[in-house]
Amino acid sequence: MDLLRTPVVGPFLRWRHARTAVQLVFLALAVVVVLHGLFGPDLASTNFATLLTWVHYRGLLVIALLAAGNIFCAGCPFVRVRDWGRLLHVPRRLWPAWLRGKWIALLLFVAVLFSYELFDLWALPAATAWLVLGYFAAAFAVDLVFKGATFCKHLCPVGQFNFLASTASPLEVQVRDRATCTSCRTADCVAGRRLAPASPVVLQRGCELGLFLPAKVGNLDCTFCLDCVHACPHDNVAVATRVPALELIDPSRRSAIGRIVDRTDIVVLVTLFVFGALLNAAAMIAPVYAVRGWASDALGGASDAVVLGLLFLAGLVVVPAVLLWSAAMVTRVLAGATCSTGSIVRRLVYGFVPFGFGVWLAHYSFHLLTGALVVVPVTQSAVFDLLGWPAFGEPRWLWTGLRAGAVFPIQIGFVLLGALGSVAATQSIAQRDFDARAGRAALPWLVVLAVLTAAAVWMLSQPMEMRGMGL
Amino acid sequence: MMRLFTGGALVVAMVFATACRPSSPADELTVRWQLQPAVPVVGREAAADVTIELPNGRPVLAARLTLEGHMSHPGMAPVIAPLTDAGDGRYRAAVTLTMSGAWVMFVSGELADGQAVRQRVADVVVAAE
Repeated sequence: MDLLRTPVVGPFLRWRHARTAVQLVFLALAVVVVLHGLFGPDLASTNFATLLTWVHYRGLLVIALLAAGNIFCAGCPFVRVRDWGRLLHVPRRLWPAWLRGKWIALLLFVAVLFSYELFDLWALPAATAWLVLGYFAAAFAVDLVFKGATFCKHLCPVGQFNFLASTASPLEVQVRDRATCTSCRTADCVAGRRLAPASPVVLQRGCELGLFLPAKVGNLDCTFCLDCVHACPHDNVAVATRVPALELIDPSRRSAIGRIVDRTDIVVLVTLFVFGALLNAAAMIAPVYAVRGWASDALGGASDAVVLGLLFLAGLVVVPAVLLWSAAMVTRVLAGATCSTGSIVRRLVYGFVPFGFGVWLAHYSFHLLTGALVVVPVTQSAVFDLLGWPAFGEPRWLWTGLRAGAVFPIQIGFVLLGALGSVAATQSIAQRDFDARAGRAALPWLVVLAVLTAAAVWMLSQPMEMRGMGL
Repeated sequence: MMRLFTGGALVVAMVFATACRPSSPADELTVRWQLQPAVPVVGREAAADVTIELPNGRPVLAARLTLEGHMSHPGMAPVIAPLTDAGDGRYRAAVTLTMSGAWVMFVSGELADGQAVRQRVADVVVAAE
C-alpha cells in the first residue's frame, strides 16, 4: 500500500507545507517545554518540560516508529528553526570527510544516556529545558556552517536512534517503478530542483542526507522529510508498507551508507542501541540501585559518577563484547566458517535490532501508558499558577493513566515481539551467509538472544525505584 | 493569524506567570511535618503528622487539607490522603506510598477563610520492601 495514494493522509503528505505544519506543532510544544522548564515549578511531575519530554515525547516516538515510521524526525522542530536561519545565511562548507559517519553521534548518544542517569534529568525541569535548547543551538550552529543535513546525519543522537529503530517500522520511502528511475536523467530526488541548472535559487530541495532513491535501501538515514516526494518530476516516490526489519538482512550497497556490514560505526550503534535499551531500563529498578549503593561502599565511598561510569562500561562495552565475540567464535566453530570472528559479529549483530527496539518500546510505553493523562492536571495547575484561581478546575492529580500492573503484559508483549523479530532476522542472516549450516551458525546468537530476553523480562518484573533530586 | 499570536502569547504568559504569582498569607504559613516511620516502606501505611501555624505563631484551625505525595519522575501516580483535623493546628493522615524512590510531599487545600494553600513540606525516600 502506498500511503500517498490513500484518502486524507495522501493529500496531506503531498501538500508542500505538510512538514512545516507538523514542525510548527512540535515547535510550539518545544517552546512550552523550554519556558515552563525554565520558569515553571521545579517539581518534575508538575512541569511540562519533564512530563512532555520524558513521558510523552519518548513514548509517542517509539509507538510512532512501531506503527508507522520516523515521523518524529519528519516533524523535528530543530530543523524548522535551522531552515529559518538558512533564509538569512546559506551554508557553503561540507562537513569534513574525517568527521563523517556516526562516531560523534554515538559519543553524544552515550553522553545523553549517562547524563540522564547521573543527573536524574527526568527530575529536573530546568536542566531538561537547557538540554532542548542545546539541541536547538547545536542544530542551528552546525547546519548554518555546513551544507545538507549535517546535524541529522552525523551528530544527532536522537536521529541515530530513530534511524535504527525505523528499520523495524512498517513504512518506507521508496521508488514506485525502477524503470522510471533508469530513464531519469536529472536525479531530482537527491539533487533537488533549481530555477535553472546553475541557478542558486532552489525551487525544491532533494534529499539532504544524500539518499539517491533508486539506490536507497530501507529506512537508515531517512528522516521521512518527503523532500524526494516533492522533488521527483515523475511522481515516482511512494511511502509504502513493507515487512518490518527485512532490510536488516539486505547486504546490498546502500546509497550514502554503503554496505551495513562494512560500517563499523553502525555496528557499534546497533550494539549501543540493544544494550543501551537494557541499561536504561535496568537503571530504574530497585536491585540496580542496591548494586550501585553496594559498589559505592565497596569502592570506599566512590562517587555516583564513578559507579555509574563502571556500570556503563560493563553494560555497554564489556558485556556486549564478551557476549557477541563469544557467540561469533562459537558460530565460527559450529559452522566451520573461514571468515573472521569480527566479520561474523558485523553480520549477525543486526539481527538483534528488533529485540533492542522491543525493550525500548516496553520501557518508554510504560511511562506513556501509566502517565499520559498527567498532562491534564499539569495544565490545570499551570492555569491556576497563571490566574491565581482554578479556571480549568482543581488539578486532578489522580488522572495518570493505566495501572502499572495492566501495562506489564503489554511490556512483555513488546519484548517478546522484538525477540521473535530478532529470531527471524538472525535466522535469515545465517541463511544468507552460511547456507546449509545456517542453523548451527545462528544457534549461539539465539542463545544470547534468549539470555537477553530473559534479562529484559526479569528487569521489567522488578519493582521500580524512582530516584532523583539528590535523594 | 492574530488568533495564533494571541494563543501563543497566552501560553507564554502562562508559563512565565507560574513564577510571578504574588504571594499570599497562605504562602507564609509555617508547616512542620513528621512521618512515622521516617523512612517508610513501599506499600505499607505510614502516619503523617502535620502542624500548621500562621506567621504570628497561632495555629491554623479548621482547614480542609490533603496530603499529596508526588514522585520525582513525571507521569507516576501520586498519592493523595485527607488530613483530619486533630485540633490546635495539628492534622493527621495515614498514607501508603506506592513505589520505592524519591517522593515530594505537599499539603494543599483551603484555610477556614477560603484561602487556597499548597506547600511543599518534605522530600521523602521510600524504601523497597
